[in-house]
Amino acid sequence: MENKLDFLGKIEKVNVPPFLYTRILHKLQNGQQTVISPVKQWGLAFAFLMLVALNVSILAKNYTSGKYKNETENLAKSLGLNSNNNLYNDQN
Amino acid sequence: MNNPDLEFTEIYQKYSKLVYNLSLSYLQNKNDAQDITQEVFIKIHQKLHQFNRQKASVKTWIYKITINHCLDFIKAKQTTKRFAFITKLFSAESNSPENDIPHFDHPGVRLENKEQLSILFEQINKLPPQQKTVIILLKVEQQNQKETAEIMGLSIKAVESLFIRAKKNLLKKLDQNEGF
Repeated sequence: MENKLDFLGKIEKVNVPPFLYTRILHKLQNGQQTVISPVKQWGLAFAFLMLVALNVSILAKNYTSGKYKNETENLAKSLGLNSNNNLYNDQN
Repeated sequence: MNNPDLEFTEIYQKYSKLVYNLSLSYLQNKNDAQDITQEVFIKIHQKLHQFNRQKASVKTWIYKITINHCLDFIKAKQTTKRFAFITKLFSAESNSPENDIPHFDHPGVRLENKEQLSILFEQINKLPPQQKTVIILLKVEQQNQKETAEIMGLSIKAVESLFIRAKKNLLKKLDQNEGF
């Protein structure tokens, strides 16, 4: 068996094709253009979360104080819209 | 990247031959080995600043990256092959050449040894990944048992027994094959 495996020692070492280094550098260059640094990624994620939190807090504040509901009704009235489900003015 | 850092260039100059030839031993295909070499050096470039030289030598680290890339590549190729086989069952038109197994294309093999080495590699490729790795490191790369143990993250004893098992399995497979 050792003899058979010794056959593997007959494999010659070959040189790397010369174009490969240029190909790697090109790939690295392209990769760097698209990759955003982790600091920037965290910064963007934080900004997005802050924006969402701000929206949620404003909505929650208005909803709990009832202001939001009144404002919607006022807007519906000013536009001549019904604020109830009675669409055909049924008098029953 | 017009001025690649000196360290990366030095590492490429020193180890690119090692990475390419090791990839050739795993894949026996020129184009695949080139792709792996490219991926390995991109990985090295990304991880170079995190690499702790006190833990391991650069050579061992590069060996590990290359082996992992080769094994992942082989696994992905086998999955694609299996998927291609399933699609072939349902479609008569999927006889495309890209689904074929790449032929033995090792530039380091002389023509007079090509047939025998092709049969030998065909059987080595059927071994489990650890056994294949131990044969490649000890017999193709001519590493000693200590270096092999370090690269594989095993003890010298474990490498010894792994090699015995690999030889036994390979002998069984070669006995079934009349060409060798």
